[in-house]
Amino acid sequence: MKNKIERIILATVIILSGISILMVASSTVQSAELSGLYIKQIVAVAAGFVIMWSIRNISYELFLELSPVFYLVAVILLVLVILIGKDIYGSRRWLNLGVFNFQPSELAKFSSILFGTYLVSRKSFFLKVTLPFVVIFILVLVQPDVGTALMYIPVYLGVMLFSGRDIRWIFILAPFTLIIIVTLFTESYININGATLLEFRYLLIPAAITAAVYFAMRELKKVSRNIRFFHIVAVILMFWASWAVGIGTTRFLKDYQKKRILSFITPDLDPLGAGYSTRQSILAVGSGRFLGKGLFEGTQTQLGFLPVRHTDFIFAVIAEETGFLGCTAVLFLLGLLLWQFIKVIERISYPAAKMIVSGVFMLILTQAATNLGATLGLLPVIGIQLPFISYGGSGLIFFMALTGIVLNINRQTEIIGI
Amino acid sequence: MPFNRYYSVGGPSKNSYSWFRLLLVALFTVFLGRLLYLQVIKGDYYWARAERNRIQYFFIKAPRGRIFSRAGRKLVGNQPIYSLFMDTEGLDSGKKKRITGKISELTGRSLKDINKGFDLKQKQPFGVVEIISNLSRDEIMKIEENSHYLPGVFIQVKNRRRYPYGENGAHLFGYIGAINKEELSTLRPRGFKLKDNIGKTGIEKSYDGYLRGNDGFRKIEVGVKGEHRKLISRRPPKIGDDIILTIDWELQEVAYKALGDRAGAVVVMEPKTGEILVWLSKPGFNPEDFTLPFSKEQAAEIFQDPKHPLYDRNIQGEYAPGSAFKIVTALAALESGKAVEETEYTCNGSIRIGLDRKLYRCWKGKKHGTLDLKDAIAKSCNVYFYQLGMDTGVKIIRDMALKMGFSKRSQDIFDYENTGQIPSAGWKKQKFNRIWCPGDTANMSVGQGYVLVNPMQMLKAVSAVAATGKVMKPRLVKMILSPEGEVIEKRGPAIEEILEVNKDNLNFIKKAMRAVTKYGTAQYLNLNLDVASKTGTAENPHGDDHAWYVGFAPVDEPSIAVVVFVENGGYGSVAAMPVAREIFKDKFKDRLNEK
Repeated sequence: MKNKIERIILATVIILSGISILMVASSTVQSAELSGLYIKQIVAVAAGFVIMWSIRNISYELFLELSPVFYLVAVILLVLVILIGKDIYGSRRWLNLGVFNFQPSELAKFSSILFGTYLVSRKSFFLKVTLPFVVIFILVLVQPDVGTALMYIPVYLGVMLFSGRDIRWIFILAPFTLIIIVTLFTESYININGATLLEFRYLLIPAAITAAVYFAMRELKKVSRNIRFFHIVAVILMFWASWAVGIGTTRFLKDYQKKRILSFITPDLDPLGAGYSTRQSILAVGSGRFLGKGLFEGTQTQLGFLPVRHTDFIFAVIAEETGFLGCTAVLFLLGLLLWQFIKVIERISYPAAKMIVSGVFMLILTQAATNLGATLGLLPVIGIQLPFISYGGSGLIFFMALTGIVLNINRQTEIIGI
Repeated sequence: MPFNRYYSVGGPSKNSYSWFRLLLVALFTVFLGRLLYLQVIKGDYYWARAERNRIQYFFIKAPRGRIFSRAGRKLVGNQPIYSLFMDTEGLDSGKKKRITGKISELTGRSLKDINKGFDLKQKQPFGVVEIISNLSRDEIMKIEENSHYLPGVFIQVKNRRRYPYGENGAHLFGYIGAINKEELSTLRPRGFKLKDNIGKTGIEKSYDGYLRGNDGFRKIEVGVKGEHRKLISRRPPKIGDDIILTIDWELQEVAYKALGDRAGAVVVMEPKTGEILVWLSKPGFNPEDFTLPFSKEQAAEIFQDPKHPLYDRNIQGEYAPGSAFKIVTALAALESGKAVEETEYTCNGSIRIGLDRKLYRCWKGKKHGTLDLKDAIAKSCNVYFYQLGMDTGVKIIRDMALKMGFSKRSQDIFDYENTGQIPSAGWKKQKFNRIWCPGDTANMSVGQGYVLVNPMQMLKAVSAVAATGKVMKPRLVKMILSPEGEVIEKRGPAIEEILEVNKDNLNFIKKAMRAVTKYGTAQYLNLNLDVASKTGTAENPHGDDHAWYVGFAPVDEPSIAVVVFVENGGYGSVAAMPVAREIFKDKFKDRLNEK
């Protein structure tokens, strides 16, 4: 019974890796430039397993101790990638290392989980814990890679959840987040469709926010006597700030990203053709029906209708070629893996270990959910890999490394016997 | 333990595990549900849509069937047109410049003309551009020889509809054109597609189902850029059926020449079989103009021409028949017993009719004196017929007219006939709120006033007289042949109805019409042939008189009945009769030469 969790984790990762190699092969075989990528994926899987097994045998606390170094390296590489990175589709995400391209933002995921935990454990001030995440978030945002940048948010939440600190303020953040998202949508719309008449919004919206908050707080004051004028000003300033963040973020977005955001709101109107990938993805998924069209037989995949099929839309390939049955199997494997992570969190009492596993869990869950949501037409396409399956060595290796740390934590609980 | 300091900070939040579980289960349930919806519930729908994504039909136009005269002369055919196409897939501007330059060099056409096709690129699917739409034989050879310098350039054949006789027979054949929205919405279930050609008028329209054949297609798997991956299946086009008309093209050409530049109509039919030998309407149009894309100006020119060239005067024209209608009046009077052959009236050149004593003149102000019915017909005396008509009455004349096929469709081949009108007292009351006067009856008796007929109705009435009461169904199509030459359908003579008219009366009319040619208004026909005639000069409030000639020959065994109508031609005996004369002369040339 002792190694059951470990065995299940290993088994699911092995099967998912096999599926990954197969589906990468199927989704690239028809393309002259891409065919052969599955060999790179095999190499990455092999390297990933070596790294994972090595890390499993090294105490995670060593990595915690080293996490400032990891973090520093990640930040340096992120700065470097902005300066000398490989430009693909107008964004710089990769460092060309000759044999392969390295994606520092994946290292940043790995190191931010560890460094965040390290800082909390060292009783660092709240701001000191948050700042490293903000730094990485901004560095990835300007590549620009909004999708990956967004992934640091759940990681941060996962870590903070077990920090033992009062994190109720996170829920207070909700209305501000909402303002940021709404601004993102409306600004994208105005940018793309060029509604110049709306220039007066820069005056109107802050004024509206001020009025709304002022009257709401005045009503609240009748109930609670603790509210001072200072509080009202603070809340208004925070609303203004989140609106400004929304506008600022839109400035960083490329036109195609804005179009994607818009196509998510109105996929049927689709005046910009940006909903193309979502439409093709849904066609691929649906047309797989119950049993699929067979490996290497999916028409949407093999004839090239499905874009970026070996990374962002690999699940659509699985869906088209193996049908509902195959999809259910993959979902089951991913779910099973994540379920084991929850079990590990349950079993251990070391808060630091809890923080790490919870961060890993949140990272993998959010990334899987974002990718699947986009593939199934439930979320906008922001270009996120499906963990353990999408093509991409950097991502795969660091997911394996994180799994290795989880395996080590699990192993320690068993050795210690708590 | 060296890691002790990691114990001290933080503590478990109790509910986090269950929150994680809930989050995990909830998210995966949503995804599973979505998959169930997309793949299982709507799976077939998306499967079909994905199929449509990958499969493209490339239609191969079926050549339309041809149209022949009764003697087998090709009247409408097809001509292959060779067009130059270019696949712009993977074409950069340098390569394009090189290839178009080479084409320009080979064909001597300007680069500007060649590049025109690229501007229309959006209208062409999959980046295939039509560069030159009609290659000459010489150009084809040059391009074939240099094909290795011209990657992605290919020649394709289209069939263009040809009407070698131009305006002659235009109304009979009709024209074809791109299917319009309304036609498409009703015909789509029968396999019609956007951009298909369809017969718009004439035989092209009525027999479109036979002529059009069946387009073939290549079912091809295409990739995301429209590149052809593989041929899935192929259906060869089925060529349309050929149609053999009853038309005697030699006679048609005689009529065409004889009518000259005047507007009018000529129809000739075999009274015994109903086969139509000549179907001519002027002015005409060239149906080939419709096979090329029309500019707006061209369309306006032909559709708004004040001479109405598209108008088939045989069945769409509505004219006063003039004295040609006296056949109907005479027959009505005889049938009703209101008059007999010997009934006499006197013509003093004019007569006063009605309460207002209005003066009605005979034509040319002639005084015919006292006449019997036969001479009245022969000399076309109006005063005689005013009196005969008034004694017979509007109702009886009208009944006879209706019986002889006026005021209704004369044929069931073309569905756009205008049927004219035969008035009655009630009709006038309703239309103008005026009482029917004796003058109206007088006018009607000589084919004036409110009476309107078309030449085809006139022909049918005359043929009925010629065939002594047997009304044959007018036919234009003798048979339909498959592309392999097998007879698909053969149309024989069919009796439409038998006129319930006393044969003696019909024979009398024949005799009277014979007299018209012998010593009456058609005496200058002057052929050594037994011809029954009746001329008509119809007053026309809009301009010069319309000229009519109706007749048949030989009187005893009529083999053709002829109607000639000349718009604003003047006297029937001057304008219309000579056309008929040419037709009789040609039709009976053997017999005439013998004598």
